[in-house]
Amino acid sequence: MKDLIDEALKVAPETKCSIQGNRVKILAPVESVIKIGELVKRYGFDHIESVCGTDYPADNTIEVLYFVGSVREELKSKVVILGSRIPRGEPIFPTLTNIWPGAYFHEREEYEMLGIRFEGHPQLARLLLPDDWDDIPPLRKDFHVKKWGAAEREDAGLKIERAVLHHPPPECIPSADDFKKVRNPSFLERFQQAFDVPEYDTLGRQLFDWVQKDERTIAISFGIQHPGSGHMRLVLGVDGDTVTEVEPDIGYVHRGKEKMCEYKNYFQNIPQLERPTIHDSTGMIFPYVLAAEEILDIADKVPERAKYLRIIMAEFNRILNHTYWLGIMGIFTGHSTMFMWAMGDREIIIDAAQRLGGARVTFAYLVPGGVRNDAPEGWEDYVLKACDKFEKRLDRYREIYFENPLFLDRTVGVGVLSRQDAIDLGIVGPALRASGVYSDTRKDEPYSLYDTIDFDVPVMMDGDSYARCMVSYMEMYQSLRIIRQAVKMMKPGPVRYHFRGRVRGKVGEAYARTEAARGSISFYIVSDGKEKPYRVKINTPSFRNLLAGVKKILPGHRIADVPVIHWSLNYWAVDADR
Amino acid sequence: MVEALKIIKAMQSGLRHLFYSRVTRRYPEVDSGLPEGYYSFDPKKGVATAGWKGRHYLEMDKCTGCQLCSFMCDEISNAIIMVEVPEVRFEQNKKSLFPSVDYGRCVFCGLCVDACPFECLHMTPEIRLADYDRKKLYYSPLELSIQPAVGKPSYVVGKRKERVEG
Amino acid sequence: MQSKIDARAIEAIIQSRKEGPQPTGVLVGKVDEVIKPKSLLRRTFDYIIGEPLTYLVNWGRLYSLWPTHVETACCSVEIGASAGSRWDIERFGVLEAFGSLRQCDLMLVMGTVTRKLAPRLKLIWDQMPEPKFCIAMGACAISGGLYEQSYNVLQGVDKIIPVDVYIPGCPPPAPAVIDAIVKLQEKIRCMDLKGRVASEAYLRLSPKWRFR
Ligand code: SF4
Ligand code: SF4
Ligand code: SF4
Repeated sequence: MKDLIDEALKVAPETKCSIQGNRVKILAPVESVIKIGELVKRYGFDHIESVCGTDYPADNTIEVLYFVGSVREELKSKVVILGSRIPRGEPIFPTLTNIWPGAYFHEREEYEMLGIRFEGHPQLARLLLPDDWDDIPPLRKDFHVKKWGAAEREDAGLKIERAVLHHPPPECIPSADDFKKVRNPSFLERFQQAFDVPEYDTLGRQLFDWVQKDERTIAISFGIQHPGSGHMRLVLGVDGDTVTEVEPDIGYVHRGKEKMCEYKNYFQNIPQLERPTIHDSTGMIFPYVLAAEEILDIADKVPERAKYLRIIMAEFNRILNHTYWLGIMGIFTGHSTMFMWAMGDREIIIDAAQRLGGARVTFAYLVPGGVRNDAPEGWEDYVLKACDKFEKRLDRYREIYFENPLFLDRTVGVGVLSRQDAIDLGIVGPALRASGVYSDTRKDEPYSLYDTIDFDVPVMMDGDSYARCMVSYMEMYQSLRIIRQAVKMMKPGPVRYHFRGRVRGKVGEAYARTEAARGSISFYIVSDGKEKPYRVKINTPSFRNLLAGVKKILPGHRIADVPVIHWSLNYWAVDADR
Repeated sequence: MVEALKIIKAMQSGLRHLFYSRVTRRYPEVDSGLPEGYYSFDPKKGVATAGWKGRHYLEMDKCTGCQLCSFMCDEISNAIIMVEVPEVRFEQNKKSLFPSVDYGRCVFCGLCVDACPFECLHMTPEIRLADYDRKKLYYSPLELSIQPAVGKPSYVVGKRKERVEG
Repeated sequence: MQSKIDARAIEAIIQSRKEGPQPTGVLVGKVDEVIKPKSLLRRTFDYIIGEPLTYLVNWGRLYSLWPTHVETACCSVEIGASAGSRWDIERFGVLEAFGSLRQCDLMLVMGTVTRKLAPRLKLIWDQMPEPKFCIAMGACAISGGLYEQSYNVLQGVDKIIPVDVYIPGCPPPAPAVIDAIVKLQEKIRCMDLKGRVASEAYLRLSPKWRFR
């Protein structure tokens, strides 16, 4: 890594570089960012992970950071953080989509959330916010959230007498105007007045224009009320029955989590951060907890038993996610039996997990410092039995589904994603492994005692829908294998580091990544030494897979194949929207 | 031909399920099978006991009105509001301040239980909270202090019992 | 000690509820309009034809609650689980039919309604034929829940759509969903031919009934 830094310093001498474990941070001046970017790519960092902007009103700058990983064996565990500071008043940054095409949607998001203009970006349009957004970009520090709770209770007619209420900070108290907005949402009125008001669905209109390249092409809307669309809309340009162009329109479940994180402390953030993918709640929260531990300076105080319990919970969630996904895949391929089987067998694992976590899916089980409760007595035996039972059921799937000619016809050779495309677009998880890339964060950068456990990473070479399904299916066997080992390796002991007094983070930043069910997920936390984080960047696998993958794969396929292909990417739009 | 055989094989493996025992749990008639223990937190050790996170159960004779649960929930979903209950007076709670929970907002995370330093807030396996009226989702401290019909507490008031498994 | 508190608590609750039942927010039509005294002829007619017919129609409504397939947010995971073989809400006639919304009569609002989605949801609701029912599922749909501070979340779906049953939870576990559907069916049993709620007998299924 030293030579990379030396070369970067040669390009621009005023570059600031620092190495922190596996993270290399390069802060370059804006003019030389492109040159250093090319350098980093030539060095072997070709897998874009995330783009993150942070607003610093104190020094009147915005920091833009690109997180770049690699799929090469020797660089897998490293992440290069390349970025620059730009003035807040005129935030212009050169686009790096030419170097890493996968940055396309990440840049669009930061454009919208912080108002950074990426010069040279092919289509800089809005992505997540509603059409009638007329405020400043929400992730700027001078945008404040409002606490609506009181207004909501009043509207519901809930009169709570003699209540003692806490007073939110003054900037979070809604004004009379704000209350009015909540009571009679203006966007509803505007919507109902007429459909021909051109402001309505501005983004949709833009997308329609983009996909409608010529006379022959018709633009159609796939979603939001469509069985195969999920929580999003795909704007398809079709020529006859063939898809020519796709523009995903997400943001229907955008809930502003990154902004809300800045108003909650490290523990209060846990429930909301596991909600993006509730059937993979532990996978979502795992990197957050690791990053928060680094910020709170207790990374080495987590007890060993807690680490194993975390692994078990994470693998339970991987199975829960894959079975849910498999069930819906059954519906999309016209195989209702698969749906019923997968949903029914999922309950075996839920039964084991709810005895530990106390909920069906949203366990809120991992906290900074360990886990919340120890396993009840006799739970270990129960888990081993449940694993055996589930594995027997899993074998059955092969006959009825994975070797069924009806399923093979729908998926084999459909939606091929080549190895090079998958790397360029920053695809992660089962979709990347199905394209022949051996990449799994559990192996690349082992965290939380995953290195003591023996397991395999299934990889397929074909890159079609069938390969993606098979990889997920094989992963469930590996998860069972991990759970069995972890249960046997667990020794009695404490499960949680006991905090005393107020919990404050140290000044600094942390970037942690783990392997969630849908792929590699990472959290970037900036702390300014207060009880609450300064900035939290959530980088979810669905955001990386769905948008880039769908845009690349779908053109050339029939409309009937659309649900199968985009669901085989193992996406979850809620996760992409955050 | 091979294809047809495979389809027949798939159908056969499905048909075998005619002779299997039923997976469906006839829920309203039979028990839902959720774990039975309460979720409670031991502030001295800093760990909780495993249990289902459902409706809260408040031990009014232990609550001191310290508001810590309310402060924890304030930024999570603002479900806990401290209210004064003049009908009930206890030594340790001079102002008669008790937490009330608005289940229209609560997300059943149980972090309020972790925040309580006097072990008086628990979560029970009661999940049948659905109602016709938004207002009825608000549970006053007195309503919270009634134990639901389902589940067993992991602790008894006053002296500690061993964990009860679900 | 334990039993003492409980007795006192119940007493206090009874005290505070002396004003009688509070009107429900979702009642269609006025109560006194519904309970107007009728003529003898009309009563005889009702007894012979009206009531059996109402029963038959309501029986039809009860077991054909087809939900529209609009997934608003993550609560749809639990709908998937409750449509699966362990809980199987098809036993109650809730069939995930994936049909057109023109044939549906139940809107299950599965979680968060954002500002971007709210107009579309309202549009879908307006297109559904009468009688139609709405279940608000999860803290988000009821009140905004976790996203009290969010700039993009509608604070409760009842601001745009009248809601029949609220299910607390995040997400509500599958048994709670079944419980809510049973409660909705009880409400449908109390409807007249025109789809108005004719009696408040359904309220006894409310979990707070036993506190009275
Ligand atoms: S469980 Fe969570 S949301 Fe519910 S009252 Fe407690 S802290 Fe608040
Ligand atoms: S329940 Fe516990 S935390 Fe809440 S006010 Fe009472 S004693 Fe304090
Ligand atoms: S209530 Fe919870 S699970 Fe349901 S949509 Fe809201 S955050 Fe998701």
